[in-house]
Amino acid sequence: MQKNLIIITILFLFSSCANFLEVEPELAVSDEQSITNGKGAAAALNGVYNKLASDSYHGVSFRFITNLSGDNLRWVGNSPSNREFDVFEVFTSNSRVESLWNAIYSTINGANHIISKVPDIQDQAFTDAERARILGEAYFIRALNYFDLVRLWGGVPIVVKPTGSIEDGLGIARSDKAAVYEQILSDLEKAEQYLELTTVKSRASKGAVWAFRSTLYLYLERWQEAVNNANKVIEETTIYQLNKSYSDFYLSKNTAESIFEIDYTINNRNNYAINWLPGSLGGRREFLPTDDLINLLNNPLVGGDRRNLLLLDQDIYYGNMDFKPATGIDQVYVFRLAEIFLNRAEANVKLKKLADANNDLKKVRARANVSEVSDYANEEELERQIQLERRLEFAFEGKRWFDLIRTNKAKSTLGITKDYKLLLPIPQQLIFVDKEIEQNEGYK
Amino acid sequence: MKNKSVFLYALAILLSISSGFWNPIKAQETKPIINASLVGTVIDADTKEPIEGATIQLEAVTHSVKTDRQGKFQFVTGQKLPFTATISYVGYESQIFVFKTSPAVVELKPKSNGLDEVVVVGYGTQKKKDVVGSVAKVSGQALEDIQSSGVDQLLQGQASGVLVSANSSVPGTGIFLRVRGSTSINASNNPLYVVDGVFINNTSLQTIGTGGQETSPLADINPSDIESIEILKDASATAIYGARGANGVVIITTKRGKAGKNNIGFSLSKSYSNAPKKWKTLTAEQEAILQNETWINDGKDFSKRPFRPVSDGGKGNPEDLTTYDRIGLIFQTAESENVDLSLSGGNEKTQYYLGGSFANQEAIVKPDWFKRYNIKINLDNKITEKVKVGTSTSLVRTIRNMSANGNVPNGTVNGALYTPSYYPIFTSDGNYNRPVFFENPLATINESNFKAEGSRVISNVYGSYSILKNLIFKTSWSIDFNENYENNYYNSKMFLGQPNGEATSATSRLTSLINEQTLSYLTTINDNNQLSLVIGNTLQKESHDLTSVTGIGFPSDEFTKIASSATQYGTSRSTASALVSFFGKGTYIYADKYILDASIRADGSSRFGKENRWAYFPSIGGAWRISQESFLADIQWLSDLKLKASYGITGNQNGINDFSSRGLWSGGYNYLNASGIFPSQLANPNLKWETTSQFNAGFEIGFIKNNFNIEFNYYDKYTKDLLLSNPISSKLGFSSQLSNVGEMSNKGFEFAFNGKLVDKANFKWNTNLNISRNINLIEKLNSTILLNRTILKEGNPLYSFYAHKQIGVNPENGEVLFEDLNNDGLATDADLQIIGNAWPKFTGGFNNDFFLWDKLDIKSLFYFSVGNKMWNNTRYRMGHGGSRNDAFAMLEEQLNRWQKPGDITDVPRMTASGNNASIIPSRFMEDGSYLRLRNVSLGYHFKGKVLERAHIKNLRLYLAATNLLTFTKYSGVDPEVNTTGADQNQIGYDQAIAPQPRTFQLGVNLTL
Repeated sequence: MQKNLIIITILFLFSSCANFLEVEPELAVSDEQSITNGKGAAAALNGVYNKLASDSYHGVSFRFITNLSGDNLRWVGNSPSNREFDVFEVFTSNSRVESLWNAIYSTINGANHIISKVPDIQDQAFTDAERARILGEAYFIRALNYFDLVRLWGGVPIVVKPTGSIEDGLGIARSDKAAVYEQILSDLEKAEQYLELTTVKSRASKGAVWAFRSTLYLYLERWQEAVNNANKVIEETTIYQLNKSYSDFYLSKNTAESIFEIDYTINNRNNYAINWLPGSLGGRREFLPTDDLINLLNNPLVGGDRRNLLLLDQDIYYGNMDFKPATGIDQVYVFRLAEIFLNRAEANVKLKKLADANNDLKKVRARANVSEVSDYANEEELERQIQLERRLEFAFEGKRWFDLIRTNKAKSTLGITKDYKLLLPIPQQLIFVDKEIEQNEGYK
Repeated sequence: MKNKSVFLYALAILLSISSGFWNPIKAQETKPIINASLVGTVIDADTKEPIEGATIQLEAVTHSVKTDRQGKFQFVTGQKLPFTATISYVGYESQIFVFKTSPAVVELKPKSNGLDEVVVVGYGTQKKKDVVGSVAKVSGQALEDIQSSGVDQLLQGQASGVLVSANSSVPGTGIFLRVRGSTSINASNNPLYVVDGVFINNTSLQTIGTGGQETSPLADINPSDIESIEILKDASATAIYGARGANGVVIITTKRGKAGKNNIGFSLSKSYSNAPKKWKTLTAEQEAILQNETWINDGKDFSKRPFRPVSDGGKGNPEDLTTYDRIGLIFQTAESENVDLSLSGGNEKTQYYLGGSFANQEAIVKPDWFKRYNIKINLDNKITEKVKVGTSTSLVRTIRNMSANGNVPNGTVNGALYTPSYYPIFTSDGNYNRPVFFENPLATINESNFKAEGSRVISNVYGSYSILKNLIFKTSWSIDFNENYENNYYNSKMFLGQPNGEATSATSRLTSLINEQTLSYLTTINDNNQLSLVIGNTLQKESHDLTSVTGIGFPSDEFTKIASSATQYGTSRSTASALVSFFGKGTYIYADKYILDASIRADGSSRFGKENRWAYFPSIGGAWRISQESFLADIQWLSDLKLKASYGITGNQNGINDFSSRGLWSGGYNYLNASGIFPSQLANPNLKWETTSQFNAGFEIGFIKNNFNIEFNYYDKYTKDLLLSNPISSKLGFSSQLSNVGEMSNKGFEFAFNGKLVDKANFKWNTNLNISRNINLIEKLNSTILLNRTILKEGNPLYSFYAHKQIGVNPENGEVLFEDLNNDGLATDADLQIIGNAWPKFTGGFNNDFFLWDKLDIKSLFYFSVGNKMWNNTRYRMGHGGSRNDAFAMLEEQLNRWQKPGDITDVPRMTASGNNASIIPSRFMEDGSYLRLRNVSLGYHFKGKVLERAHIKNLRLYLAATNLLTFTKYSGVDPEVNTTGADQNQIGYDQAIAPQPRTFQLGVNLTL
C-alpha cells in the first residue's frame, strides 16, 4: 500500500507540474483582451471617466488645488503640504501635485487606448453611432485633460499614443503652451464631429464641446470665437436653461443648467465633502471661506441668494454645497450655463458690445436675486463686475484661480511676488526619472 | 478498506493516549525486589524524572548494567562499599560517582550546551557540532514568563542577528522583525516562518483600517506549544529554502510527546499592565497664552486676540480657562489571563502531545483586547517498523476587539492627545465634543463596535517509509487556512458614523496548500566517513479572497447590521499563486574534523513571466573542527574550536502582487454604475526574483567542558535585481512599474556568548550575551523615493530621515535657522538633507538566569538598541509653534520658545507664518537608543513528600515583570514604537502611538 502511495505521488508530481504554475488572474485581463469589441470599448470609456472622477483628479485634488489657490478659500487644516497651495509656496515634492499629474496622464493613456483601438474594432453588434459616441467622448476627455494640464503647469509633454512599454515615452519632451492648445482644439474638433446633443450631462456631448470652446477661447483671447461657441450653447434652450434658483445646480444632478458634470454614486464616490464640513457633521472643516468672500456673499448688493453657500457652525462660517460625506456623491460641475453667459459677456466687452455684455451679466445676477441689478457703461467697471460675478457665482468651483491668472490679476490680487508661482512645479519624481522633462522656471 | 484503516488508526491513538494517562501511576506502585548489595536510582538532575537505559559501569569490572523503567538498577558484586562507577546516558553528561551507601540516587545532568545538542535545520536535524551554517536556537523555555501575544516579539534579545521591535502597544498587532538586515524595498523583508514543516503565511488579513497598524498572523501561534525556535541566517542554512530564504528562516518546532514520559502540564497566569509613560501637554492657560503670543507676534490686533474675555467675544482670558484632561481617559490598567493545559507522552509506538490554551489580553489603551483559543494536536505513530505516520495540527480562534488605535484623526490616541485642553469633553447638551479635526476619545472608547474573528488551521499530516535501513521516504500534506471576519459599526455619535451610522462587514481568507516529498539517506561509511543526503520537492498553491460590504444610513443606533442600512455597497478581490520546487542537500563529514555542506533548490513561481519562471539557489559551506586535531588535543580547557565559512544564493518573491509581470486591464473602474475597465499595470515580461548572495565566516569556541561558548560570525549579504516599484515617467500614464532594479547590501557581525558562570549544587548562574551589528546600504537605486520623512536614496541606508537641518534659533529675532546647503540665503527644497537613520548601530540581549537551592529561579533579560534615530512626529505635530494654534494641543517643550531678543533656545518664536511655521526642522529627530529590562522573573519550586505523594512532578509559582525598566534619552513615551507599522520602508516614526506596556504577572506552572 505504501509503495502504491509513492507511485501515485510521483505520478501526480510529473503530470501536474507543467500546469501547476499556470495561474490566471480573475480580476483583470491582458492588454490584447481589453478593447476587442463594442462592450469592451464602452467599458474602457467608463474606465476613463472613472479616472477623470477619481479623488486624485477631479474628485478631490483638482478642486482642492484650484480652490485653495484662489482667494475664496483658505486652508486651516494641519497638513503642511496642503497649506502650500494657500500660501503659494508649493514644493516640488508636494504629493498632491504629483498624484494629480499622474492621474491626468493616466486618464490620457486610457483615452489614447480608445482613440487608437476603437476605430479598428471588428464587431457586428457595434453600431457606428456607438463607435462615434465613444470616440467623441474620449477626444473630449483628452482635450479636458490637456486643458487642465496647460492651465496648471504650462507647456506639458503631449502624448497621444497608448502606452505599451516604457520605450513608448522616448523622445517626448515638454511642448510649449501653444502646441498644447493646438492639441486641445484639434481634439475638440474631433469630439464635435463625433458627438451629438444630449440631455445627459454626466457624459461629454456636442453642447459640452461648445461650452468648452467658449471657455478655451477666453484663454486664447479669441473673443469672437468665444462668443460664437457660447451662442451655440445658449441657443439650445431645450437642453440648457438657467435653473430657477441658484442652489438648484448643487442640490440635484443633471439640472437644466448643467452642461458637463462628473457624477458619483455610492459605489463610485469621492472624498471631497470631508474638507468642508465641521466635525459635528462628519467633516474636518479644513477649507474655510475667506473673510473677504464671506462679506461679499452676505452683501445683498452682490451676493444675493449665493449667501446660501455659507452656513454657520459654532460661530464659524463654512462652505455649503449640500455636501454629503456619508455617500460621497458630490458632483463636479465642469461647465454650467451661467459660466457660458459670463464667458459671452466677457468676450463681448472685449468686442466693445457692452449692451450684450450687460444683458448676460444681469441674467446671471437676476437669477441669484441680487438686490440691485444695474447696467455698467464703463468698460473697465463692467469687466470688473463680470469678474466679481464669476468669483461669487462659482465661489467654490475652483474657477477663480484661473480667472485671475487669465486676466493678469493674480499677482496683484493675491499678493504673489514671483511669476513662477502662477504655475505648479512639475512633480520632482518625474524630473528624477525622465531626463527629457524640464522643471518649470523658479522651481529648479 | 480505507475507512477501516482510519478507524484502526484512530483507535490506536485513543488507546495509546488513555494508556499514557495511567501508565506512570501504575508503574510506581510496583516496587522491584532488591536482593543485592548495591542498588540505586538514576534520575534527571533537572526534572528529577527517572532515566531509563542509563549505563552503570563499575570501576575495574568489565560488565555493566542498565537502569530499568523506573531508573533503578541493581548490582551483584563481591566488592565492598564504597564503589566507584561511571554512569552515562545519551544526551547526558557522564558522571563518575562514588557509592558510599546503598541504595543511592545518582543525578545526571543533561548536556545543555553540549556538542550533541540537536539543532533543527532545513529538512532535518543536525548535531550542533556538525552545523556549518549560522543557526541560532532559542528554546521554548527561554520564552516562558514573558507576557506577549506574538512569537516574533518573544524573540527580542534572544538571538544574535535578529532585530525585533514592537510597533504598537495593542496585543496581537505587527512586530518589526529582521534577520540580518533588510534586503528589499517592495518585496517582503520578513523571514520565512516554518511551523512543523508548514510554510505559514504571514500576511495580515485585516481589511478595515485602524490607522497604520495591522493584526499579526503570528499571534495565532501559542508560545507555550513551542519546543524550540531555530533562526537560520546564512546561505548555507537558508538556500535550501531557495526563493524564500533571502530574509532568513524561522523554524518553529512545537512540542511532541516522548515515549515513556507521560506528563500533564497546567499553567495559569494573570497579569496587569499599564503605560510606563504618558505625554505631557499644556494646560488650558498655557495653551491660551501661547496662542495669544502668536497672535501678537504676527502683528495682529491685540484687542482681537483669540483668548480675551468672553464679554469681548473671545474664548476667555487664559487664567479663567478650565483644563480638561483627555490623555488620562484613554489609558487603563489592562488585565490579561493565560491558561494552558497539555497532555503529552506515549509509548514506543505512539506519542502524543495535546494542548489547549486560552489567552486574553487587554490593551493599555481602551477599548482594544485580544483573545485566543488554541488547540494543538501532535501525534506520531509507528504502524510498523518501517512505516510511520503523524500529524502536527493547530486549531486557532482569535477574537479581537478593535478600534482606530493607530495614527488617524478618528483614533483614540489622536483624539486624546491632539485636542487642545481648553475644550470641554462634552458639549453643553451632553454630546461628545469634537472641536477640531479629531474624534472625541471617549466616543471611540464607548461607541466602538468593531470585532474581528480569526479562524486558523495550520495542519500537516505526514507518512514516512523506511525503504532501506538508512533510506527514508517521507511525504507530507499541509494546509494553512486563515480567515478573518470583521464587523464594524460606527454609530451616529461617532465622527465616522455621520450622519446616520456606517457599518462594514468583511471576510478575508488566505489558504495555502502544500505537498512535499523528501527522500533522505544517512550513512556512516566507516568511522571516518559520514554522509547524509536529502532530495525532495514541494508544490504550493496559495489563494487570497476578500469580500467586503458597507452599509450607510441606519434607522437608529440600535440597528448595527448592514441589512438595516439604507444604502449598501461592496467589493471583492481574489488572487492566487503557485510555487513548484525541487531541492537537494548533502553533508559529508570526514573524521569528525572536516565538514562539507552543499545544497541546491530550484523554484518555479507563477508570479513571473515564462522565461524567468525558474531560478536556482545553490550554497556551499565548510567547517573545520580544529579542536579535533591532534595538535590541540593537549589543551584541556579548549573543548571545541570550529572555523566555518559558507557562500550561497537565496531569493525573494514574497510580498509582491501575484500578477506583477503582466500588463493588466482591471475591472472595477466604473462610472455611473456601469462597469468599466482601465489599464492598471504596465507589463514587465522580464520580471524575475530578487537574488541575495551571502558570504558568512565565523568560529565557535567551547571552553572548559563546553561550559562557556562563544560564537562569532561575519556576514556580507548583497541583493541585486531588487523587486522595486520603480518610478517611471508618468507621462506614460503609469507612475511606476515593478522591475528588477536596485541593489542593496547588508554587512555585519554577530557575537554570542553563553556560559555557566557558576555551577554549584546550591547556586547556578547561566548567562547569555548577544550583540549584533548590521550595516545596510542602498547600493543602487535609479530614483529617490520619499515617504513622509523617510527617504530611500542610493548610497544611503534604508530608513534614512530627510529634513531641513536646524542649526539653531536666531537669538535676535527668534527665527529658526537652517543649514543653507546651496548658500542662496533661502530655505528651499535644495536644502533638504539626510539627517540620520533608524538603524541601530548595535542591538543585543543580555540574559541571566540564577538557580538557588534548587528551589528558586531568577531570570532576567535585558535588551538594548544603540544608535538608532527616531523621528518624533508627535513633537513635530505638537511643538511646531504657531502653525499648530487651536488645531493641535501643544507639548510642554513649546514653553521654551523664543520670547525676547537674547533668548537662547532651540524652539523658535511663536508665529503662524514664515519658516518657523512651514518648514519641518531636524530638531524633531532624536536618539532612540535604549536599554530595557525586557523581562525579570522570580520563581519558586515547591518540593517535598506531599507533592510526591500527589504525583506532582513540578510545581512552580512565579512573579514576572515585562518592560519594568527602560533607560533612554528619548523624549517620547517610548523609543520602541512605530507609527507606520504597515509600511515596511518606514521605521522609527513616532506619532501618537502609546508606549509598550509595563506588565506584572503572577503565575503557576504545574506538571503531573
